[in-house]
Amino acid sequence: MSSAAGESSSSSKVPENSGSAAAAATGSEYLEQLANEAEELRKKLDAERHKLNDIPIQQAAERLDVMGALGVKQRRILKGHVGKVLCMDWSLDKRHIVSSSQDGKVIVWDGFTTNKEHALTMPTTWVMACAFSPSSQMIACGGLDNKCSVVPLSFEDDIIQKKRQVATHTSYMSCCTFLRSDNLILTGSGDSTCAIWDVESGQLIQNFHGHTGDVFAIDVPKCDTGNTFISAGADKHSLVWDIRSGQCVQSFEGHEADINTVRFHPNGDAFATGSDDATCRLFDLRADRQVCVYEKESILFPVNGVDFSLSGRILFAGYGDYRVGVWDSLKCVRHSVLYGHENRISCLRTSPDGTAVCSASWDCTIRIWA
Amino acid sequence: MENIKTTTEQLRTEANIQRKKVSEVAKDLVEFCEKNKATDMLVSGPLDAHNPFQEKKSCSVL
Repeated sequence: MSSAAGESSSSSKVPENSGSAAAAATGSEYLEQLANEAEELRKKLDAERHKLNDIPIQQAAERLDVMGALGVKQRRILKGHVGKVLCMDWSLDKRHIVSSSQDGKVIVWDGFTTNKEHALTMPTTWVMACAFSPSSQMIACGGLDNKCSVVPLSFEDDIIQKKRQVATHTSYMSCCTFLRSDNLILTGSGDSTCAIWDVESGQLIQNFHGHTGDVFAIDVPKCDTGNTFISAGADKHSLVWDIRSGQCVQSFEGHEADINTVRFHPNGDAFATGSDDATCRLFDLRADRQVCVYEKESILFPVNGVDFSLSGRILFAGYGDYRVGVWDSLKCVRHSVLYGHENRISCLRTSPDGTAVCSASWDCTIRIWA
Repeated sequence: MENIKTTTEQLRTEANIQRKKVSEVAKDLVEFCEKNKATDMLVSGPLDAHNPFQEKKSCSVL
């Protein structure tokens, strides 16, 4: 096969060479055209987005009352991990919590009683991601093993025996979440892709290429009527994806360092991010741009977890300085700080009904604030 | 080559997006917060003084 190709190319050496030279010329012209067009489009996009930034969000929120004292404090502490807790997720029953840690343990907790209902030991350490399925009858987890595994929850037998691998990436899995049902899982990875997998068959349904660095976070809108999700990571960009086509439909920039966490606003049209640049930011899909930065000169540490209260008024942010910042998302000021953790916060999530906010930390604990 | 092609394609898609002004989306965000304020327990306190995570405390007080 290769010798035949060699023969034919040597026999038609002259015409082919000149042909390829011409092709190279048009190729480079085409390339230049594309580069010029890209540059023009970038300028146009910047101008468009700038033009729409007519007033700061604080101005629209001027007529709102300042939030009073909230009475939010630490209500539960979940102790049992002996390594850094890296991730947690709420069950839709608003009561159970799954958490995973650096020493390879995955624990399912009753958040009301603080009891441990299941404890699993995974074969590899650094279980960076875990998620509850919508039915609450299954959990998914994975991390440095590059895999996403699911475990059905039951009290009858040794459930670790029922563990199944669903997804495999070519680098670590940094985040995962079920998509609408127990049948689909969305994963993000250090291989800079996201992917949707069929839980039953373990088949890849769709993958998402576009990030130029590790993906650290993904989120699906709560009122999941659209067909989009967002992802963010080491390339400082947040991307909005069309689930069906696999295409990136919007791209948001602003952060000056890795984005560690991303959460949709409960209205489904905006989302918040937290970054190593010590800021949280609010982006709006309809404005196609950043609409607010939550920052303070005194805050120097990375943001590792963000989530909104039910109405979107509060943005909770878990920081590397062990604290949870309570931001007024509309007036763009820090309302208060929740103290308790004794090491960096790795993950933070509001409960599905908005009764509480939960934080996981390198201090080996998980705390529930309400 | 492939890279610049995809980048340009991506920019073309993004250039065609319909956009709203920040003032409009900010107004929507404010309205959404106001509409849901009463049921937002972390902002307005527990509904009917009932939050399962706060029960323990109120019981011990009683």
